[in-house]
Amino acid sequence: MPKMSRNINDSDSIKQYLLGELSGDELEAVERRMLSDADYYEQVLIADDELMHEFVNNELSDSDRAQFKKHALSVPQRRRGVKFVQALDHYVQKNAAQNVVPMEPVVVQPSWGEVLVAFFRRPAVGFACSVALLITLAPILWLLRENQRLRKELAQAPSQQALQEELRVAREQNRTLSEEIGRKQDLLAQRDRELLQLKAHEQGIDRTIPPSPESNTSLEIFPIALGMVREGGNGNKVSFRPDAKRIRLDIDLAANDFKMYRVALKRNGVERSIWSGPAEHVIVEPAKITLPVIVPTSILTRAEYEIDVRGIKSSRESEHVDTYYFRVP
Amino acid sequence: MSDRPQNQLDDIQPDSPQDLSVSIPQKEWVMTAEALEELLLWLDADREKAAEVYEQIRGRLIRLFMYRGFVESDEMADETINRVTRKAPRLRANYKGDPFHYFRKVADYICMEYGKKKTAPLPEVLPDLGLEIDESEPIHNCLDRCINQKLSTDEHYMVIRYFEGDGHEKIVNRQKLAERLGITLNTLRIRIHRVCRILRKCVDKCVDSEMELHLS
Repeated sequence: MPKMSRNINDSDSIKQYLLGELSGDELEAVERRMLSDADYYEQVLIADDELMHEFVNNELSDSDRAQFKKHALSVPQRRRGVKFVQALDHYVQKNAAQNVVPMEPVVVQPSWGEVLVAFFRRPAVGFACSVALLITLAPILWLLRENQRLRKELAQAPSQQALQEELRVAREQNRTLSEEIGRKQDLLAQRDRELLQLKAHEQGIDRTIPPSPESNTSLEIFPIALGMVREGGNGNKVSFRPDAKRIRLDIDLAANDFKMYRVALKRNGVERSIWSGPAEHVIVEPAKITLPVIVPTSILTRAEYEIDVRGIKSSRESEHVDTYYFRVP
Repeated sequence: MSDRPQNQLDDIQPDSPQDLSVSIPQKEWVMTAEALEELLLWLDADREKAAEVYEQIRGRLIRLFMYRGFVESDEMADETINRVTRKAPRLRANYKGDPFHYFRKVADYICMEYGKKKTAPLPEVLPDLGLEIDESEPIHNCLDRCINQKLSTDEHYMVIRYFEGDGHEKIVNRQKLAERLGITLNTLRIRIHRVCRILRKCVDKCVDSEMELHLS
């Protein structure tokens, strides 16, 4: 009876092939596939092993068993296969009975990738990684922001050359302003002298405007120290030649805090000054600061005198510096 | 061969036994390096791949003859390859079909020549049920040795669990084992088969050595 065509992929076909029950087209189909298809070939080998196990364990039907004996066991290599299966079966029964089988579950060694994935999936690890990431990222972000800010500032900041140029211009302006201030102060001093001259003229007193410091060389100079008592003792004594028209009083300053000074002369404790004038050319020496004041001798008689020194601020306000005393014997 | 495709083979037919016996006696032909090279080139342009294909074909031909019930499966496989090799130059030039198909056709002719010779009658004593196992036989010592040498602890456990029990119990064991490993039953089946094949190879080699020692 011809065999009905069947799907060679099913296990029954392979089993029938192994039992030698296929022929014709079915046989050719199985053999062609077995030769050319690696997976199918492996299926055939597996089916062969299972057939042998079924034979050894008496799991085949009577007809299959008979066919197996007749077809498969006629080949020595397949007989060896059956012997092997029998020995293996015996080994399994012996070892299972003796409980030599490890009781721990079989661990299929995962790949390195699977190990890493499983490790990082743990909640504790995930949390720790998140915290570590935050701790690492925070300073990095801060540094990036600072870097950006500094770069911006640097871009906006002028170059060193520009700064130097700016400084040079500022110094130049400062020098110009200083010169201007000096000129203005000279002008003020000039105006003061003129005013004094006018007053003196009104009072009928021939007051000589103190000459500029350049013409002081022939004048008698009298040092006026601070702290000398008003009366008697060794106070500042000014005794000048009868023919002297002017004298120079070198007032000993404790400090030179002002650019310009003004002195007022008083006699015998009278509040009203008899003379006043500017003094600006301070002489600074290593151990001494001297404010020279040119005074006309015409106003000086035998008496006790008081010199009131005032510093002139840039705001034109004056501030009392010190009071000095001298007498004309 | 009623199903022979029209566009294949043409006059490049696998030699029929009659043709071969008249034209070139098979036993006088010897495989040479050049001839083998021609065959490999026909199998694949890549020399290494061609060598792999050659080994695959030989192994599968041996199985084919074995499953057909032939004892001299190795010899028949080599003869099949020899005959195909003789025609390799013409096949390279003209054959356009599947080489495996051609090999199978030649194997058919070889089977006809050998006339389904099952060399020996069935042995008197067959491995059968109910017979007590003789542990003194070399195969048992060899199996113990091979299991220790070739299998890991996990593989050993897998084999025991897979073959343990009878009938339904065995089926349940296998299902549990597959679940434990996280694989399908079919994957488990394939893994077990590959492990057993390694063991079988080791055991056969071991048994052959033992027999040689015994005989010497």
